[in-house]
Amino acid sequence: MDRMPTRADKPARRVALFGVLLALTVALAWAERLIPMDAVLPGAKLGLANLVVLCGLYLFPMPWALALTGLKILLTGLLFGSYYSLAFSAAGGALSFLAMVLCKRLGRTVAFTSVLGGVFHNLGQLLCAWALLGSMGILAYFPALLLAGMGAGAAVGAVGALILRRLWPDADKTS
Amino acid sequence: MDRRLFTARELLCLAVLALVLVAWAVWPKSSGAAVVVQRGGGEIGRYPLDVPARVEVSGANGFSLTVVVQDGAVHVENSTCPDLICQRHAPISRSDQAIICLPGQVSISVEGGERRGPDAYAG
Repeated sequence: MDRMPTRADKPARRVALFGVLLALTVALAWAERLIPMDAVLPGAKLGLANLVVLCGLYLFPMPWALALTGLKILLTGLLFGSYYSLAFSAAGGALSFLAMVLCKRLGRTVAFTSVLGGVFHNLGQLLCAWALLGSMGILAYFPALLLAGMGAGAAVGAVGALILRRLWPDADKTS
Repeated sequence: MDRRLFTARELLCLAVLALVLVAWAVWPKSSGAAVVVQRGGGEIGRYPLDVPARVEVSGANGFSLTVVVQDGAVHVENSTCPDLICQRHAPISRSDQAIICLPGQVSISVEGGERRGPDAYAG
């Protein structure tokens, strides 16, 4: 059996993979809406689409991964969210992406990178809420939301690590 | 190839972070809620909801109320007014509750307390 092409090095192949992954983020974001999480902890999400963002980080050069994250936030925000939720996603996504890039540069494992991504995603959202509402009351939410971020990040990271290992065994793990 | 998800150091780091967050989440804290007593629409007293207290409040028309704060809730123990509706009112502890004594023109409410959430989410 032919091994799957790993790092999308040829431009056409890379563009195709990018498109497929971007479409997958929208599909996963839609699928996630079928799971009601608001009753458990308002604002908490599993972040299934972040699975794709995580893989993108290891499959593409950094600017491409950044584009994938940005477009995912814009698309899912416009399709499923409101202006407010778009702002929250953007703040969370930006901080999360930054943390994950740093984490990856430092040679941490995929799962650990994902957990930090989850934590910083929710940290970014809290900061955004603080900026928009100007209320310190949301601080009461801080530990619960960060724990939720750890859990979601660990779940996504475990699956992501498996996917990367199986589908793209020589995906970029270091740079 | 390394098949572990995390390295030992990463696990330790995550465990410490999780412990700190859990400790923070369950740490007992002052609710910050306050009992606000008003007469004729003007505030005449404000007391923390989590500190037991017994306060005599003199209302309008010569009526007086004994307001008691205990167990994180406030109620009127005694009133010299004729209706005694305030006295029969159950203790209140949430921001959307109030005890009103019409003859004495006194209202007792909670600020900064917990609000009653929605019964269910849909959609």
